[in-house]
Amino acid sequence: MRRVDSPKTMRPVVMLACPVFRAWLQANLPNDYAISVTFLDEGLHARPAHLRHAIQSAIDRLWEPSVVALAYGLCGNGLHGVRAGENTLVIPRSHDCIALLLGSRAAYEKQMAQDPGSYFLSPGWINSGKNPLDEWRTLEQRHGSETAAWLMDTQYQHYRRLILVGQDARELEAVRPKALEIAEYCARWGLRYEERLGTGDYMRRLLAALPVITGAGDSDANIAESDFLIIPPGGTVHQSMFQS
Amino acid sequence: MDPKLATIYEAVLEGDMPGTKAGIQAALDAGVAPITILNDGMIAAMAEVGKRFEEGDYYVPEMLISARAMQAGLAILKPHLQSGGDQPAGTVMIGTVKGDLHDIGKNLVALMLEGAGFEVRDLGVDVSADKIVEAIRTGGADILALSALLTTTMPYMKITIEAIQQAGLRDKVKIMVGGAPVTAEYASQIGADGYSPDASRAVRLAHTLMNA
Repeated sequence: MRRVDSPKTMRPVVMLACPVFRAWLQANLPNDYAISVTFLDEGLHARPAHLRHAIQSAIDRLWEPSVVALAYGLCGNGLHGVRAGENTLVIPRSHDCIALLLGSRAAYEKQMAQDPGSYFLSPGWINSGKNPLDEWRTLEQRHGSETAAWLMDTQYQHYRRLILVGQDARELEAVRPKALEIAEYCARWGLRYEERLGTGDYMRRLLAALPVITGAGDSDANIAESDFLIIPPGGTVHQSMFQS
Repeated sequence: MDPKLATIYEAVLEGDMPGTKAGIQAALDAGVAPITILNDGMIAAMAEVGKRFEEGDYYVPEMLISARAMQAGLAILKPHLQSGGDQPAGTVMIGTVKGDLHDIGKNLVALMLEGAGFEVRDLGVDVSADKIVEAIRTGGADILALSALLTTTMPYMKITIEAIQQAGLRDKVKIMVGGAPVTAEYASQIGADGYSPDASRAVRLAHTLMNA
């Protein structure tokens, strides 16, 4: 645990988020302090250099020194090299968004220990077309069915289960038909379909950390170092910071 | 660049498998040295693919399609490369560490090493430290190459190297590591002999380790 020294003047709080968290954030953003949320493009993690560029541009565009929460994990090294500039960055120490969706790093590690061949789906990914079935359709159009099938096999053949993670029963229900369609497609590799209820705990801890850093909250409060990276002004995000 | 080599380079870069095969055949027929075809045509193209991937201009599928073209080309080129009766450049055992099933990078490195004349023994994915220790004990290789894609599986590289040390086999192999979350700093921290950020540089590293 670490003590966070609060600056004398309160800085604005900004969140840069992956659209995978859009629904959750819309339902759960606190109304007791101001936070402006910007959603970056979907699926940037497939091109980490573009994710880095998108996040850096958004940070560089801020017009005054701010506390910037990133609703991202390391995401394929997309966050490696991001510079804080005059701002303080708060980042979940998570490999990708899965720990954030499940509620903790421990919950993610438990799933991966149960089966390293776990492929996670979330309502955000399903609705944005970032899932194996939509990927197949795109690749088939672009490369023809033979090459597309080979590409899909090459990328997915080692997975053993498909896990839909939702934040509540209603969310699971809403995307289940599409998830089952994806599961039916993925059955070619023997993937079995499962569902898990995640929790918003990790995201809630991220939101709770922000007033502590701006000085709006309890200045005696601590932020778990195992959960979050805090990059001070002038600092740079490095992938080694995400290691357990 | 020789237009015949440029054709091969472009075909690999575009992932054009028939074009790569035809280009190599044409170059061989014209008397271009097989090693020149390999280095200046194919490996140079894969280095460019790696660069485009790193810069975000290529996705995984484009990289895979280029690798497939390279592999098909190698099948044609290999008999010519080996006609001199040369010894392999070295032997390499390669695998992804326990808990990690992501093998695209590992396969790409294996392909490039094979292309460069190494004899590659693929241990596959999700390989435990015990299995690696056993593989070194029975047969072994000059180099052990370990891959991890996740920050959560990368620490298993350290566990593997420790197990090799405890088994008293550390001096039997040179160890090189790679994968998205791995850095040169981490490699030296865990006592690996080398790190490569991509497949084409892994070939250079393997040569360096052979001569170390």
